Amino acid sequence: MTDWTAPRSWTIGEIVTKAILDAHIRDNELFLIENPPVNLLTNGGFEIWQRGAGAFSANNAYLADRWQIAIAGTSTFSVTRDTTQKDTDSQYGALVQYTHNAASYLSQRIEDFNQLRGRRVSASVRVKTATASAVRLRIVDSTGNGSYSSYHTGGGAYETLRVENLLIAAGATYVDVRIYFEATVVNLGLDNAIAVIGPEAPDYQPLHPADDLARCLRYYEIHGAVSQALRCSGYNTAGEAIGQGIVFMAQKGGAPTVTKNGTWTATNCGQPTIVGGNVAGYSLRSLVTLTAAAEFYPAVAGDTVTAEYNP
Amino acid sequence: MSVRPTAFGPDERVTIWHDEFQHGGSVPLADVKQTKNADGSPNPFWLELVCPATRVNARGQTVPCGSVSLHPVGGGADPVMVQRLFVRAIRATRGGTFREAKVVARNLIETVGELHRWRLDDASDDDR
Repeated sequence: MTDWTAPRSWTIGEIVTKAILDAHIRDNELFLIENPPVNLLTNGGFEIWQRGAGAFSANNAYLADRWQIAIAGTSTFSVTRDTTQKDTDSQYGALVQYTHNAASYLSQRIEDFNQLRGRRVSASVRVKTATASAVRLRIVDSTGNGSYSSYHTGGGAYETLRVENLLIAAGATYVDVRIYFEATVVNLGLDNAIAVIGPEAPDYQPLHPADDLARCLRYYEIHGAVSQALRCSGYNTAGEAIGQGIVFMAQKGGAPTVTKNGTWTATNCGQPTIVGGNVAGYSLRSLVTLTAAAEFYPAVAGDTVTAEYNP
Repeated sequence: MSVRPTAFGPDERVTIWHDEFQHGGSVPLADVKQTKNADGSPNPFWLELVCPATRVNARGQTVPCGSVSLHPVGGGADPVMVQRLFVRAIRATRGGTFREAKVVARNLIETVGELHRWRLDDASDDDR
């Protein structure tokens, strides 16, 4: 079987016989059977939006899970969760409004870059826009080694942009898949991205929703957001603490930033503080102000704890 | 992302953006504190950023946002900016150069086993 990390080379003038073509097709099929594409991206389908439907516009902000805005110059983005411009085989996509000043992009950093070193990587994404030569896909590693797809033609329909067969540098310390914006666009649809190890970029293959969410939870999760969820009650003397430990739904890739959002309802105690965050969870703790039963809990939708780890 | 640093001013102020509530502001670097352990002792591996913005509550009153992010020395949600925040906080309390503060920050990250997360340039004379 062909070693697909070193594709067959062709000689100018070589006659392509039926036997060669048959062998080529057979090798392709065998390769796909033995190596079904595994998406290196998390939330490649733009289906999971734990941070809400947007609009998202701040530099470095995340929109759909794992997808991040990178703004250069005075360019501006406004990205929302989309159900109108999405691709046919999709629940959600991203709807992008972009005003151009300097080339900017939406990006996903692949966490496990170590296992990509010295391998060939390909990617594809579905894009819909009526503006020609405005958007293209790029894979790039930390050494600046990268490759672009062709531009979207601006035909107004979904097109698949592909980057294929980029050899990741042995010394790479990150690998990014980026969707570059190089001209102003309105109502651009973005959907169904995939990155794989291999010389060719396949079409996006969806995951089961449970698997899709499980991947996202490694990087971001929300606790609370429902009145009286995360309720902690106890009895202690004034000046002592009540609290509870919380275990993450998914272990994080490293110690996450943990944020207590909002001002919670607290009775006979102060606002809860977060203590002892790590890859597995954190503790909520509050000092009792009156020797009595005490409790704290989120009161409104914005009262949450979020935990976030980004490669 | 969190209550996170987005820029550092020459006046030792930290510009902050709070992603979850889409607002922000700035605070003096001196207001960025280490978190405390359950016994009240300072924890050098975490910094606390309090959102400086206000919001309108259900009663129509303008109140402090009340949100706070705890950032680990490895960087958590934003490795580059959080590590720069640690370097500046270390330099503000211990004095010395940015390069010396980076050595301290790097050692803290190594202690917690996240040296692979280090994103700053050891050789540069600034916090980058």
